[in-house]
Amino acid sequence: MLKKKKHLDLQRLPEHVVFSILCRLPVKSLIRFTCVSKRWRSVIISDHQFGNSHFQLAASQLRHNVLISRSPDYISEGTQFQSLEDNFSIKNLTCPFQRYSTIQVMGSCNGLVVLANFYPNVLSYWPCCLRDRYNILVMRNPSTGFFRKIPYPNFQIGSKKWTLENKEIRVYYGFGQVSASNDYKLVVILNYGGFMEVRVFSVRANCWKVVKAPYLSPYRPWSEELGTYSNGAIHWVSLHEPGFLEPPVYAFDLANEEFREMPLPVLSHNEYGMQMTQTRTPVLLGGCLCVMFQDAD
Amino acid sequence: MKKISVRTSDGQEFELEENLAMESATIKTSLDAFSRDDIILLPNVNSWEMVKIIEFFTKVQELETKFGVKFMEKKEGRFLEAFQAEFDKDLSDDNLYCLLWTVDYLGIEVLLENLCHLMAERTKNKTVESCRNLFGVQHDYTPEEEAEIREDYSWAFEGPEIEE
Repeated sequence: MLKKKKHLDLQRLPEHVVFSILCRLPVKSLIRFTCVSKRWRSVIISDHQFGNSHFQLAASQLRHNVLISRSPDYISEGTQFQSLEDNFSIKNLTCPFQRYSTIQVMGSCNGLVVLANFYPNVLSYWPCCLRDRYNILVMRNPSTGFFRKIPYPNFQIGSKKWTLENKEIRVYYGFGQVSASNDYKLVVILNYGGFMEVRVFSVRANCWKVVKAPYLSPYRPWSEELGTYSNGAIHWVSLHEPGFLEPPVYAFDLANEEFREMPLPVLSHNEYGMQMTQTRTPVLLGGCLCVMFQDAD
Repeated sequence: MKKISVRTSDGQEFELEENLAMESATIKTSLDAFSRDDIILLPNVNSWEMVKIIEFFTKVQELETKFGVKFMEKKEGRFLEAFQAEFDKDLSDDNLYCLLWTVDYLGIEVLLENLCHLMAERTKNKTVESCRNLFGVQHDYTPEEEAEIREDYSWAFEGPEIEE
């Protein structure tokens, strides 16, 4: 067979073909080939389209990687996550986090995982320490195994003086995909006694934005810190108080960055006709948002 | 069915069935612009490459007849697997590279996808140097920069499956 001079510029494979080939490579090969050239490294690590294509191809081949989180106790070594590989071997993953901290998963979608460095020792009820409580936000791309740091958002509360008593500070968060714009967004909500501040991070734009907080009526803290992603929105349910109105499900639409409410059915009596105390947990089952009503007794 | 004549860079002529010829976006454009009775010149295509392309389509047609599935219409990818051993028997890495270029030039999407998969299989266990050679990529890292990547992700550079 004749061999053409392939290294002439005219007959070098166009980039779109080269990356179409790279898209089909397993993660180990991809990471190794970041050494081939700076251009390859840049595409493999940073190109969203490439990451997306690679993920979709891997998913279509039923190649799933499982991320295992080890117990979030104080550990002296850096690794807290392990990955279950194709051949059922376990691989330790290094995180760019410091020792003596715990790692919190702030959300996951299509295999992208957002992690936060959490220092539980810091006084959690002192508002200006909140910045230290959730330190580095990091996004991990399972296709490439690389981490990308996300800057911490600025909250107004940090500049206010708050007294210690009765001010319960909670942080809610969620992560999901915005299909129409091929983007992923992280939402972080600070709730201090009913006052809320909402910040949204767009992976594509690589910046935070201030968003109008929802009006909670009736006000009740939400049951879970981590919101459930479903159908383009992050959902939270409130804690229930028997005898009071059932608060709705609060959904944050990632595309138009607005909150909406979804009423919940009332299930406050058990088979004996007695009022129950229940916890509500939103979950995603089979692509549908479900709320579990669980009797606290 | 109408036959379309093409002439490759080395002067050889081939007759393609019209529906197969139309799988190539490039040939289709030529046909739309010129008369179908004219021979289409393909100066960027070698005769051995045309042989391989015809081999691919012939095999696909055989499979379609055998299984009653319209692979091409449904844009089913990766059916090269069914006859891969036969197809890539005499195809070296460099030849596969050239064939990829030609198929991309001719705009035959379905075959391109299959060849990308084939090339990925061949590439996945290569070393960095071997990959650079195959794709003709210029080495633009300093030794220190490259050493740093190799150290940070040493597990990606080790393993019995990686070719010498």
